[in-house]
Amino acid sequence: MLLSIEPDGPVPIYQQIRDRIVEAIADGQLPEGSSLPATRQLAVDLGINFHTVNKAYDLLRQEGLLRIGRKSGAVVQRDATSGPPPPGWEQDWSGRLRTLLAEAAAQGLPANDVIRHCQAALAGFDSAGGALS
Amino acid sequence: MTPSALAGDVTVAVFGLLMCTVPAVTRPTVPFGVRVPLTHTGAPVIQRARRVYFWRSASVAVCCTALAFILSGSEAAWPSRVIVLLEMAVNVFCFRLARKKIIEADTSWRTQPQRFPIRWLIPAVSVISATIIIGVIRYPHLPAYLTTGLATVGGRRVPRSPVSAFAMVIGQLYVTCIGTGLMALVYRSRPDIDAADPTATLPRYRRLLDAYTRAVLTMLALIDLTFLLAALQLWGLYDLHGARAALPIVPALVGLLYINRADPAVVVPARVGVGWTLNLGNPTAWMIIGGIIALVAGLAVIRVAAGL
Repeated sequence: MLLSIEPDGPVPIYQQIRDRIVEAIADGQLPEGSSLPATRQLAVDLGINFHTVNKAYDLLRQEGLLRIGRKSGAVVQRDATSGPPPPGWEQDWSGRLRTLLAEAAAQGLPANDVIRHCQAALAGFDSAGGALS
Repeated sequence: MTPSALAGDVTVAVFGLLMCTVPAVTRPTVPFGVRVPLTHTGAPVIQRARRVYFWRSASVAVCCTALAFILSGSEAAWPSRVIVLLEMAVNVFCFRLARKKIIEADTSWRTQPQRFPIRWLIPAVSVISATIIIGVIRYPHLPAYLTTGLATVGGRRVPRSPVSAFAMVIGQLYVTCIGTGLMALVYRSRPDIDAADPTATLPRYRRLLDAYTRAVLTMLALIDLTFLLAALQLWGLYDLHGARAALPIVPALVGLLYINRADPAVVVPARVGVGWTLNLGNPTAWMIIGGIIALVAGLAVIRVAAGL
């Protein structure tokens, strides 16, 4: 998996790492059981502080996507084929989605275009190996 | 306004103009010193960075030129020089602001680490083992004084002791451990991802590293073989005085090495292949090798210590 981050970008680095990993899980690059590099190794490879990587991994662990063991390291705990999401997750996610859709509405993007973008993104995950259908 | 003051003002203006045009004369795949894929050279983010840089540097040029004209009434030469330096510093700052750095890492380098070709150490370890076995068998029969050195002629006579008798084995272990350790450090370092072809970078790097490591381990085995020949001479099993005429064969045998203490040259044309090689019979050559190893080892230690 190629992990690209923009250190000078407006999005915090830990959030960028978290987002790239979530995207890789969604498009099938990181199926359930895949290992992720140790925090220190990834920090060295990206030239950032290891606490930043730790924060990203911890966020993913709280979301139920990663399992972090002392010996096994960070392992992907679930992917698109792992069944329905944990209880309560959908409610949190719909709250965040509402904010994202509000941005589109505030900018005047027509509803049809919003739906088209959503369908294109979902189709991209599906064709790349995810199982959203 | 004096001619020298006018020349100073014109210099400020021309320098400002040149700084404005820097992005136009640099390669499109390396805008502001950041390598981007050929397909991304026209990306909106790069176009925006170019525009912002142009307006910033143009503003700096106009302000500095105006300031130079105002101060040129003093008839001194220093204002324009100071302003050029100021202009340069501000433009460098603008250039740095325009850099949009994207860092890429391939996580499979860590999750599926490249295996060190440990089997390729077998030749070197075999040669060292053979040297130790021959040395242990030969040690009780060695004379009270040994002639040391890699030399074909001459050398220094020292009392027999485990250290003097096994000096060549120590050399073998030192060179092999240093070479192997350095390669092991390379395996722990990170590869540079080529922005033009990120997905192919890692497989290519893996192939290159594997081939390079095999070559280094083979070279270590050949160096150990050279030490073995020197040890055989030290232990009186291989009469180099008698075999001096055969010495030119040694480079042909080992491919890379040339040992001739009688030859004052440090660097000699290679007998095999094209290029040059070091005369390992000359102490200066060993100093050069030691210096290179110390330099590489020092850099590697600094990189590891700095977490690079």
